Amino acid sequence: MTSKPSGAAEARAYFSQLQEIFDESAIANGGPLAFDYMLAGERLQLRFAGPSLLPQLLPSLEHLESDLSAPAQLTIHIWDETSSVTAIPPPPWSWESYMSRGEIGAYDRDKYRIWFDIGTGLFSMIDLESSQALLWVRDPDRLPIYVTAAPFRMILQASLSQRGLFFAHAAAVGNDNGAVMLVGEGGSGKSTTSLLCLAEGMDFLGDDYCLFDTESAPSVHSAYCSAKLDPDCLQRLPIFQPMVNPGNDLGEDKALLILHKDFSSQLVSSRPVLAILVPSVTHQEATTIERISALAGIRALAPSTMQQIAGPDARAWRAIAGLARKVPSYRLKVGYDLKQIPGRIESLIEQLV
Amino acid sequence: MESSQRFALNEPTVIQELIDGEAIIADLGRGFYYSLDPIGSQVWGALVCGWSQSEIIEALLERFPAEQGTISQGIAALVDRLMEEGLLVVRDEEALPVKNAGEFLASISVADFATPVLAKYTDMEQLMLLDPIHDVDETGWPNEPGEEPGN
Repeated sequence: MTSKPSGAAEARAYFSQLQEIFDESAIANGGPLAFDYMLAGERLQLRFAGPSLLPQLLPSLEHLESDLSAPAQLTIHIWDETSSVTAIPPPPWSWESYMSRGEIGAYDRDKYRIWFDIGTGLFSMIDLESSQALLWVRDPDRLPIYVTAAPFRMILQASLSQRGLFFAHAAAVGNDNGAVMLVGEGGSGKSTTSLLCLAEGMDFLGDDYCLFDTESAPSVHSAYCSAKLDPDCLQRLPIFQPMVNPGNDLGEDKALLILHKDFSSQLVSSRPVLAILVPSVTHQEATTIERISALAGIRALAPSTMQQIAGPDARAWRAIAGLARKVPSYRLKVGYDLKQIPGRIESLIEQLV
Repeated sequence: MESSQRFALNEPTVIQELIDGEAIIADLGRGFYYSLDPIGSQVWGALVCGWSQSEIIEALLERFPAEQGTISQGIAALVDRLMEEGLLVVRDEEALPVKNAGEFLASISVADFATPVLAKYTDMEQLMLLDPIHDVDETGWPNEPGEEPGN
């Protein structure tokens, strides 16, 4: 990857051009429309040039809406090509530095972070010094449900990591005493486990992604009130069927659930982390829990977290290792009597408090 | 590899953590990570502090005198492997080991010497994968593979 530290001026100029286009589009569309949130104790403002992207980018954050008592610590300006008065100019960088995570590695990562998802046509850019970010959608009709489920993830990661907060590819559930983070590759059972726990009255902090910090005592923070379930699991958990996001084609791989309206009292903002829990499906009836090594916990959490979100960020790696050092790791051996799962997790929490 | 050479961590892309007596080393430049067993972890700790291979062997022989051949070969093989994987670099300047032989040996909790094993994990190797885009339309933005430029 070639990085151009001297390209900061080029990146700054491009950012300014895009900001002007956003401002112009906002005026033309009757905006900007501003929405304020508290995310892991950080003040976030989303500014939309017009209403077209609201149904796709706001639902997962509903539970975090807040009246900000002070200026936002991060502001994201959002618009799409259809509402844009002026087409955005060609980017100044070479596409030779395009990485598998969609990141453009052309500039100093301490100043600017840039991503373009070729599949969705979604462009993100953040100026880390000013804490201003841009999100441009090339074609709103191409936005898949995983963007609605977890919007602004890369921008949020880049900004929040400066304050010691990191996204984990993990679910998190708990109670007043604390929470466990459910980690593992896709298909390992994180979603089913977390939603079973939610249905049984446990606190819920995330299905696929949550934030964590380890500066003092490890804590997990909610980012999204969404969940994704495949059609088979949705059939087995009919309580969630009314929460399927409108417009979600159930013929797709997974259904998107927005949980805020029906579970608002259980969607808590933060909890102490008591354990890392790695679900694995067994062919036995009973669900059991066994202690595993810190390395096993890291192996379940780090690869997907680093590859999907953090990238080659030493701070994220150290945070993951720090979490595994500070809290025990366990394997949740899930049996086919799924009703046992929430009780087993609650028992573990009580043991660890 | 000269047994009197001293080494340093191949920073900044290689970082290390010690958790429950196990060294976990990450090469974020290539997307690989590694773990070492307890003896290997202590040897690793001594190496990055500036101990030479011969000093480590000499200290271990004090503790495990019957294992001369095993220790010499095992430590030499480990150092070679750590260098091959790019986790260590030869240290230019003289470095004083931050702990003495007694402290090093006290940190080894096993009763018997076992050849240290470096385990390598490659399930994070997509981390730095470059995926250069060559199909860009007239607006300067890439097309999805299979799309005709300009559509």
